[in-house]
Amino acid sequence: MITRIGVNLPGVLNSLICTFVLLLGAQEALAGSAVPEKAALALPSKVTQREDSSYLTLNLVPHTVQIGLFFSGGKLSVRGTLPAGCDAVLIIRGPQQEREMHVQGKKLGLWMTVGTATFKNVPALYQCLTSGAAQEIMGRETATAAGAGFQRLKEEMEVRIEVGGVEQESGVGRWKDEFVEFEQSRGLFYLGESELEIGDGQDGLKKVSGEIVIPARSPVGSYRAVLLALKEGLPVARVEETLSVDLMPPVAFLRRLAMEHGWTYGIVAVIAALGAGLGVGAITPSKGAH
Amino acid sequence: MNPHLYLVIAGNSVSIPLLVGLGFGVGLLSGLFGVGGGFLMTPLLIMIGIPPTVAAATDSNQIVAASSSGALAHYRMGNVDVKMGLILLLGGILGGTGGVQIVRVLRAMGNADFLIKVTYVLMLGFVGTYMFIDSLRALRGAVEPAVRTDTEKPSGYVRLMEALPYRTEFPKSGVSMSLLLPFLLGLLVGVLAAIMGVGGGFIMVPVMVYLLRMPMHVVVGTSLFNVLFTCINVTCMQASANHTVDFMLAVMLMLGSVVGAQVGARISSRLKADQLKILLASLVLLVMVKMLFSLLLTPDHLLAPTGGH
Repeated sequence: MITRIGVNLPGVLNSLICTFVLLLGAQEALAGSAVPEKAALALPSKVTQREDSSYLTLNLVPHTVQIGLFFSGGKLSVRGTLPAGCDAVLIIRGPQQEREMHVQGKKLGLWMTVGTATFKNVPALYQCLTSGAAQEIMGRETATAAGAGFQRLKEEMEVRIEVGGVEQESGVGRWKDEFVEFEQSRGLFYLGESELEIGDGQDGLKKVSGEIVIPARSPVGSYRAVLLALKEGLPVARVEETLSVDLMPPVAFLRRLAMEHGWTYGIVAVIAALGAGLGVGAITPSKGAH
Repeated sequence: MNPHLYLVIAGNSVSIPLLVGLGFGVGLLSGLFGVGGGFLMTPLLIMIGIPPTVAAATDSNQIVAASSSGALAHYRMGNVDVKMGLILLLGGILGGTGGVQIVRVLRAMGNADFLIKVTYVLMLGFVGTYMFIDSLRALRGAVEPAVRTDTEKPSGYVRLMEALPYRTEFPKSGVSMSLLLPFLLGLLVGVLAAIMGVGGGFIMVPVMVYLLRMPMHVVVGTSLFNVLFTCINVTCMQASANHTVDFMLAVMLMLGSVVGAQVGARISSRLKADQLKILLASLVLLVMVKMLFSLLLTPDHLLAPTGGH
């Protein structure tokens, strides 16, 4: 679904406009109304630019990821346009959530669970694709401000570590790093540098394309996709799309039964297991006693 | 072609052939040794990305299928001592309830994980080593382990067995003892099983062989009978209280395990008691070594999903 349609202008004019909006640098242009979640996507005052998304389009296909019985992860095709001479960054964020995890530590020389860690204000899924090496297309400060890469996630996170019932004040940064690494290992956090391709388009605009993988363990909910156009390391325009991850009817029915009618679900599960076990046992010929 | 199934409670997708294969393997062990296989299946499910709480609860559900299939097969072969099984079950349920409270107290003290893991390793190590050495000696013809000659001086345990009141016959097992003994042993196994978070089949089997002096083939069938009822109870409790039973995952595991249990029961009937015991001992020791490594080696991540041990 195309949210904003690019305007038909010659390529030279596009470049000029792109440079123009970069030079403007008007702080007031970054109005909060255009930024749905300021914490994630606001730009710092030093690098704020007039937002001009007329030439920036984003189209995610499909727009809804349907989880059926045989779902093993969804692939989203990313298509869009951006002004010539710009780099692109795509950020997908899942619903915000709170996560509780076990902390592993050594006790008497043995590794085991020694406490709990609670991470608040973390997205259920975070994926960031760029059209080039992140360090080359934007500086660290810009990346952090734009929410591109993991630094901003770590800054937003609230962490509470308890070991042996005592809250730990120090070493919080290390646990944020651990959390990001853990989610990366599960495919829920992903940074794909140079995975957006920029090619020739029509009317002086460039085409941007890529592929996003929504892992099977992604939770149901509304996800936000933001495409940023960067010029000389600074964001010049942004376009946003929403996509949803939903359960298909049979899967939704099973989930509802399990969550809302636990006893019935348990009894059905036991009957099914007994039916399978005794059924196979009954049709299998006995060989007699020892 | 590797079809996947989405597991709505686990919130993940797993290869169908892998799940059916795992079910078959653990079902085979179940039919072969009379164990539920939870001590093997739960870690395997966690390894393939199932959250620990869902892995443990769902495993109970699939064990219902495997153990009912295996128990029926053994019952037809005359290998289930229902009387003994019911007494052990009663003790097991009461012990399990008490064990859950012990775990709760340990957790409040902050040392639960340490004690659980150490108990696990020590229990597996002790049971596995004892069974292995005993079976090896028996196979070499040195000693007949479970049967003692009348000329031997009775041990303290035997004297205790004989001194306890409410003596009764267990014709299927060919033994005579106080009702209190299987009840108390069932209680003990129930406590240990609750602390370790497993069904208890692999503790129950050695208890039946060495402490109740039951013949090995009756042990396997009776243990399956016990495991079946324990897991029915656990499945219903987990589904209603914690919503952690993943039915689709259980169905896939069942498809393999019910067949595996039948195959296992048939192989079991062709093996000698000591061959069975030495195989089970090897398996128990293997799991113990794996657990010991997990305690000694630095984990890949210092954070782990909540749930399970």
